[in-house]
Amino acid sequence: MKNSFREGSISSEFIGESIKKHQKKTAIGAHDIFLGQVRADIIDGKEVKAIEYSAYEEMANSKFHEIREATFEKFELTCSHIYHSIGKVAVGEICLFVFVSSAHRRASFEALEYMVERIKKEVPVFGKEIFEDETHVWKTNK
Amino acid sequence: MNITVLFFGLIAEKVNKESYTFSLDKNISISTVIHQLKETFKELNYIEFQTALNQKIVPLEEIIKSDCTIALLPPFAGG
Repeated sequence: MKNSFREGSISSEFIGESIKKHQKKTAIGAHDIFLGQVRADIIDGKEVKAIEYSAYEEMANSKFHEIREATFEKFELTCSHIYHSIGKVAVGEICLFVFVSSAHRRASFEALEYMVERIKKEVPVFGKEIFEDETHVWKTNK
Repeated sequence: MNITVLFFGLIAEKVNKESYTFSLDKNISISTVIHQLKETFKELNYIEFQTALNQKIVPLEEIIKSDCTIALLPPFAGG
């Protein structure tokens, strides 16, 4: 099973390299990318400075796999990739990178939204929102 | 049969454990296991969670028939 988790934030260099790697695949005419960024939410007057992610990694990786498989069934994609952070990610940094490629744009637009919505809803990833004073609350996806 | 229970996120923090094991001598439902866990770990009475049996989310009526891993999953926060 492919491991979709990356320790810490996902760097813009890593994202750039991923795009570059696809330039040899010349059947591709469209890429679409979703980047989740850690937001400085204000909760009860305190500002979030980082999120520490943890996960039921085995189940999460099989869910990522299942979501990718279902996406290939539904849409005309050439390829798809999911990377999610594990551990601490500071505000402003990237914690989720979903990357889809297809011959034509429509499949990429639709597949990306489908994947991101399923990831948010079905993958057992947990997030501790840490404040400046080191106290925390547990995040829940809406 | 041997049952391993895994705790994550908020739940692991509240029960102050990441796993717990016990054994059973007859087939029982997930809901009975949850009931017993709530007796052992009172904090579970106040936390919302889903239950996964061998990495699949299952309904509470599901019956456990062999060695397995049960995970208590608090609300997801991926992305």
